[in-house]
Amino acid sequence: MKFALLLLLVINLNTATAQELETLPGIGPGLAKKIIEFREKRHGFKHVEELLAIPGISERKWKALRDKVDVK
Amino acid sequence: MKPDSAIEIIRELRHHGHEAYLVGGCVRDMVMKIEPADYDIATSAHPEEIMQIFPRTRSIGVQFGVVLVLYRGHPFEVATFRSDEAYVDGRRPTGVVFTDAKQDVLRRDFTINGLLYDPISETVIDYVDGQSDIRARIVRAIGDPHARFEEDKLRILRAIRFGARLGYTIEQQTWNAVQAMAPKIHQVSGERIREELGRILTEGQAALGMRMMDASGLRKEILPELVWNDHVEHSLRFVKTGSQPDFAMGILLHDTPINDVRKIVERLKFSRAEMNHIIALVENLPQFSAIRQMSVSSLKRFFRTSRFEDHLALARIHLITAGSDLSDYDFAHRKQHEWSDDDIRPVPLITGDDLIQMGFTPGPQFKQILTRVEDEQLEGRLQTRSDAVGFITRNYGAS
Repeated sequence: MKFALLLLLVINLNTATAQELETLPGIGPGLAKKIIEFREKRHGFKHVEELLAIPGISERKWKALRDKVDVK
Repeated sequence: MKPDSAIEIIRELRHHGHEAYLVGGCVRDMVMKIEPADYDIATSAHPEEIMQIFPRTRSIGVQFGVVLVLYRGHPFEVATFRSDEAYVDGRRPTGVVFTDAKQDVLRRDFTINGLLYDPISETVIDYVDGQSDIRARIVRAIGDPHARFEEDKLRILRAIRFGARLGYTIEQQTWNAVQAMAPKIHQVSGERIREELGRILTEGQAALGMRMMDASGLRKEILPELVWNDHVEHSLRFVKTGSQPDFAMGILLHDTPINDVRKIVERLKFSRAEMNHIIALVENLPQFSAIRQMSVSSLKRFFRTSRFEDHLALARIHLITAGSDLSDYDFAHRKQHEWSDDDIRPVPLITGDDLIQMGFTPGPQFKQILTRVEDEQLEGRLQTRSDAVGFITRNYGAS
């Protein structure tokens, strides 16, 4: 049940903790940390597509991620 | 962030025969000698041309001609010069016309955000007298303020955000329009209002921002239930730049009755997690005045509250602002540091499975027994599993 919920849950890139980011496909502790650093440096994400600028987020990872994140 | 990569993008666009400049907030920051967090670029190139020139791009609003260029590990918004057609719903233009640099600037909100910078010749291009407004520290709408706010009602709140954050005065005509049009803020969605309010509260000078909101009538429109007094205003001075919006909301709402707090956070469409945090902050604050009478187990359970450091911070801000003594806060702070995470969240001595093995039948009594054992453990009266078994046998009888 918990697993199913995680699959449906859309994660807000602007408020997610590192732990929450790590539930995303292809995101481990290293990338989660990079995402949070990126967010802090730029005062938040304006577009989910900005993720693609982070080294380590390939087009392939992006495809698996895009429906599971938002920036509202 | 340094402008080097943005300048390379501009060179590349020029190399292909297009006009291109830095635009908006980054130019304002540069004129103010602040290092921008990011750079936006305006160009005569059309979206499809931008996407052909750069290998990694994403279209993020073709209808507005905005392309995200991913370059050297950074995203850059590259937007075609445009002027907006009528805004029908008060939020979004029905269509755009691609135009020149000057028209592009004239559709923007405030003069301080309407500057272009040519990094090749190192000159600021200023069609709106933005530089003199930066020098004079003034927020002034570009053109007719009523027309600007009519196009996008969120700009009414944005005027206040820039005024407060930068410590600028809102120019008289612009201020009159803010006051006159405050009731129209309701045409903007709860989410967009929440986002803007969050920024007013966390980008610096939150107290000034709320005071401006109050004076303009926006406070009454957006937060009619808020208990707004000197104490609350003063407490906002302690909200640090870069704080989480839900923490700042907790500070803002800490004197407001809890039912009104609930109404506000629901209307502003905070996420479930943020709502819970804000409500918990307001609800828990009175507990601090009884904290020294709490049993060790209650205190440890209190410390388990998620993001407890925010609760502690609110208690401190509240006490300082009220001019009260800080001994309740000091006590909580000291205890929290005295105990390790293991002290606060120890591994349970006993589980439901153990109770079944001891001959108990699963039921409502289970939770009661387990909670009591945990209380005893937190109090330090039970240390081992066999202590716990003995305690249960004594108090509930072995079956």
